[in-house]
Amino acid sequence: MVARKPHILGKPFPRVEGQSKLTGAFRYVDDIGFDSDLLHVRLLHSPHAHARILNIDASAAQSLPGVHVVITGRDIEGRLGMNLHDRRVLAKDRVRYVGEPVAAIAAESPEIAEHAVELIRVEYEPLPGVFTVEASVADGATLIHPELETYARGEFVFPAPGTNVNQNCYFSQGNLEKGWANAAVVLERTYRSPHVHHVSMEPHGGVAQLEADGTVTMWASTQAPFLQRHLISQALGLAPDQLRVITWGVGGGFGGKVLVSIEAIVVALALRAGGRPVKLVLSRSEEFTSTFVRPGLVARIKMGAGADGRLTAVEAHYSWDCGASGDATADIAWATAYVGTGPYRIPNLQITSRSVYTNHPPSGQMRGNGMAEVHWAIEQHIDALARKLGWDAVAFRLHNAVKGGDLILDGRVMHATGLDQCIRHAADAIWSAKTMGRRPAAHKRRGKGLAAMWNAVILRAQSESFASVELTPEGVCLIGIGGVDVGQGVYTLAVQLAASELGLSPDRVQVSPIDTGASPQEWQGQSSHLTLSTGNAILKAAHAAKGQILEFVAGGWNEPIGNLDIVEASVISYASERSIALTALLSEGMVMTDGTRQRRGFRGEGRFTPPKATMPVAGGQPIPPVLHFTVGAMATEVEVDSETGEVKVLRAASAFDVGNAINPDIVRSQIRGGAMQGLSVALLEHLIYDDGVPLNATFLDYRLATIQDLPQSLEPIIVEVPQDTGPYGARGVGEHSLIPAAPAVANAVYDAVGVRVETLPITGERVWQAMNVNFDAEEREPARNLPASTSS
Amino acid sequence: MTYRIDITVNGQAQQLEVEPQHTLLRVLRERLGLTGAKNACATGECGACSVLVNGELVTACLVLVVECHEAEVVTIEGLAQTDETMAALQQAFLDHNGAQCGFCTSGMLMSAAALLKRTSRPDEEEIRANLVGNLCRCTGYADIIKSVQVASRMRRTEH
Repeated sequence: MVARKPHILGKPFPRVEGQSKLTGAFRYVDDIGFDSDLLHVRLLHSPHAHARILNIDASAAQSLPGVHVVITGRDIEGRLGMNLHDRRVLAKDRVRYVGEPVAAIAAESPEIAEHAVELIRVEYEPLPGVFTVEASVADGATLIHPELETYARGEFVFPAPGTNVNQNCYFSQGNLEKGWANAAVVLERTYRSPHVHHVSMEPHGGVAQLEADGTVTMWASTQAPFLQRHLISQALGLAPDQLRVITWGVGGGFGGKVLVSIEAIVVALALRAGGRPVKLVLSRSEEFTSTFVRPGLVARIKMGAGADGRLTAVEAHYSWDCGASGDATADIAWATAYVGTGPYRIPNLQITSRSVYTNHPPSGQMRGNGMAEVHWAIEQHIDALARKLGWDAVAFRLHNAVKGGDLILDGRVMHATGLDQCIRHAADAIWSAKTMGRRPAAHKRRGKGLAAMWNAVILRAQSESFASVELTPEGVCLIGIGGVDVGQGVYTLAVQLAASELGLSPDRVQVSPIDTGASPQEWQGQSSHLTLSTGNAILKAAHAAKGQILEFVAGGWNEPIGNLDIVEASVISYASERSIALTALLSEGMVMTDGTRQRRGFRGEGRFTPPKATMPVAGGQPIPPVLHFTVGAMATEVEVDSETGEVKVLRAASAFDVGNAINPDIVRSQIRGGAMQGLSVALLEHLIYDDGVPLNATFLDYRLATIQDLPQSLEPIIVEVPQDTGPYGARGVGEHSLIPAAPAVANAVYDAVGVRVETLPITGERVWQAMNVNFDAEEREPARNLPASTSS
Repeated sequence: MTYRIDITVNGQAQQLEVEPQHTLLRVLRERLGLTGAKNACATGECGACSVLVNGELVTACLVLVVECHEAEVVTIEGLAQTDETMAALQQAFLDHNGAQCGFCTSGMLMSAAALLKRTSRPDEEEIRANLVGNLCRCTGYADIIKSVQVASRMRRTEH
């Protein structure tokens, strides 16, 4: 049951913290002022991709004047990890990637800390490095984590002992052989996606201080203060309430600030710094080399379709290059084993999804939690299969698109979904558009392509959202949540929801700063679930507060509570037509039936708990609880220079079914931002390693989209098929807008020049090579037969 | 060894003892508490530290503070209070979602203000050419272009 959209929702509504971001006043970790007792941190990084640490001599560093604390892996016993405890706070016994932090110095000034780092002597014994998925799983491959079996891990993590495989998930349904037998056309290919970086404009950073009472306070740039508190305490052997994490402004996250990065190092130093605050903010090159990267993916996809155009079978094998840590890919592999099919009806299905170690930086989830990488493969493959069958690629998708009521994931029923609307709107926007500009030169070929997507909000057992809504005597409504706003607008959403539920003017509603010492618990600010999870918790809390208010006034007026409501910031009675302004009620109270004047504050609490994992009917691994699927589609028109292979995106249209756009402007902004980040990843981004040595760890060499890379037209389209479990029917959209971009471009490139680029990014070099050197004779259509622009 | 420089920052003349190797960005942020300009790359590639020195837009991370002896420096904090162009831009960014996480925003606003002071009604091509040095990871730039266009129109109607 979806409630009517109250007046404040569904309309433009500016960001609540908007003003201070425009004056330079909004504070991030590096802006917080501390006294002159602040100590500055610098790290020593591993120069080797894989090596044993034989000895560390930090004595010269320790005795340098101005150096206060020196720590190495020897000083910290515990491991870091959420799903799989396979990381160290500082490398201990072994380094596993170039850039891995080996030692940390806290000193009076950055210069002294830098000098001290140079004085640390480390003896390494290099070990053979492993740099590809294939090398990692080969017989006799060097083991990167020989003690893998001994690592603590979550229930849904299945490593293969004696190998580099740290997670192995699978799902099957129906009968694959039958599916192939019924297929008129079968196609099999392998697709590759490299490591890319989140590139938040604000680097990772934290300041930590040991307080007089033995607790540690940390101010950190993080998407998940409660998770960080939990993981860092666990790794450092602190009591659960001994660490307090406070989050002010966060300058972007995209998944790279969920798990613990260098924050544990800052806390470890603070414990030894005698009460002085300790600060570490990473440089940009450290961001590229020493924080999380998106996992690499090798995806082998086989699909079959019948003469009627229906998919008969899908077989997908995903191998994730998780670098030095499989903590994030434990989750990614598990999730993609179930939803890694794309949004289609598939009667016979097998997916395997495994995560393997290499000597690259630790992988972390990035916008889409594996689904962008999966769709790079799936959506190109669907496109190729359709063409092989002789179908139009858009019509083929519509023919096979999952619909509400369909059975998916071993017996679940798909909720109502606007997938076909998304596909149609995106396709119409691009295919019916007029030719852009003058007719292009003959060597510039234009093409159009589309990709659909779905992504599930998958919440784990421990993931709950709590919220509180408090009305103070000063007449202010304070919302307590644990979900961090990294720019996606969750604080604005919180204000809108609470103001709407309580009939208040939004300028009287505020979100309290996130402080694990005071704020309600929130699992993480990721998976695009805050709108649903935190949103629902806020609604419940506001509803509870509203109930308290109405009960109080009902008592004072001696009326049944059913007569009362809050309308435009006043409590009114429909029966007696009395009213009292909330501000007056809060500041002065009211006269009760016994003649006394009473005044009180009101505080409601709300909690959202996700459903549990269920066991599949056919046996096997537990299926994660899927709250809902957000679906969407993106279409692009590209122009390819057939002489150089260079690809330019002329226009794009992105449509997403968000259920109910509580703040349409912010939804459109998220669609635009995600689409552009997706185009940047599609065309420009990859971390390049030479036997584990990073070659492009600066903004000069790691190409990122600038304002000049924005297509002439990028149209966000909102589709609304309400979600019955969402607040006012809403679903999240933050991650999803990135997911279809890369395959949408690749499919347009195919349309333009008849070649498929199977490895991201779609560089000019790869397109040119595909056209002139490495073409797949079976699939290639001769370029000369293609017109300059296509229509369908 | 330190140097004494005379520098005017946001209209306030002052004398500072500075290290020769310190950048203008570091001194603005750490000595003067003007944290609006951000340190996002320290190599002049992202534009987050953009400020005006003698009216010229620069990346403060690549300017040594000693180069600013007898110079006038203006940061986002300076323009935010009093400047009409900046006020129009701020209102436009607010109305059209020009900022999400906000980390690139100070630099983006400085670049946009510098552009609008030179060209009162830039077309989209000029906006793109002048903001290409400011990286943004959140907005995808479309809302920023729109904001700058709206701001330029706002200013025109005032005159």
